[in-house]
Amino acid sequence: MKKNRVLDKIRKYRSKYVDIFVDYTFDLSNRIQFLLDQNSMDQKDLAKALGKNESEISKWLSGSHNFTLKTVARIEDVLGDKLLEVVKDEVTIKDEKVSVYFINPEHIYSPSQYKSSRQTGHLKKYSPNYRNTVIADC
Amino acid sequence: MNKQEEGLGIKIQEIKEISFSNKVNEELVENFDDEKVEIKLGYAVRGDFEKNTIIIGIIVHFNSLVKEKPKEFLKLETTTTFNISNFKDDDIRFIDGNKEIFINDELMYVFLNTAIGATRGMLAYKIASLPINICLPLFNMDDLIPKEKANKKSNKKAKK
Repeated sequence: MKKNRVLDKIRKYRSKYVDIFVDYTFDLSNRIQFLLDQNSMDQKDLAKALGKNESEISKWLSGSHNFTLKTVARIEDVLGDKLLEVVKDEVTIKDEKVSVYFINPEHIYSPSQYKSSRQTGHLKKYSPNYRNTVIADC
Repeated sequence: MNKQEEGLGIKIQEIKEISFSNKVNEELVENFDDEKVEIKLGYAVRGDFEKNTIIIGIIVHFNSLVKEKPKEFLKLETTTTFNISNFKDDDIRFIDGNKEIFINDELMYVFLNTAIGATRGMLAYKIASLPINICLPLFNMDDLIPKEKANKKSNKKAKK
């Protein structure tokens, strides 16, 4: 198939939100059509209930119509079911910083088996910058 | 009591959360696979010879490998401060003020184990409400503590 350079360029630089918008509008029109079928209604009935022309409803359901929230709410009211759902249950997590309190702050640990470097070998130098990244499986 | 006065003594002075980043979202939860998680751990050592303290900074990154490019979804940074009493030059050595710190391997095992354990506990608390099941695993200290080769070099400097 012959490729159109201009179209390819447009596709490449098209903002992602345009794709999201198109997905939304097509999903919405599919959902409206589904609810119309469930309620044994057609576009004519919906147009009548909303006080719109049938041609306008037809345009909405063809996809790419920019619905307002008010229109969505009115359609939901007529069809008696949800068209859109806002995410409510965000994954929650403790945001506060952890503070640690010590029951016995004066307790001193003395390693009983500890041998100083005189017996064990050399001291090693450590860096104040993060290093020694270790990769482990969960 | 005498033992404490004579020998080396270690005390935890403070455990602090420095930063925490959570990017767990619904998409990650849905596609979560605990076998496709990469954990990176880094540590830093600072100290203050006047206050007799050693501070171990731990940073842990959790990356999801579900997609082609690893995606970080959790990061936690902590510091654990130790107060050391009765230490000698054979245990811990500060060179040029606090610029260079040399620590005996056995002591470093204690410091690192404790600091990683503190980070593990803190992480468990922070992510208790998350729907994914992860924890900070056990690490082999030999992978974290530099090998003998680096050792000789550092000791040369220490002698200076």
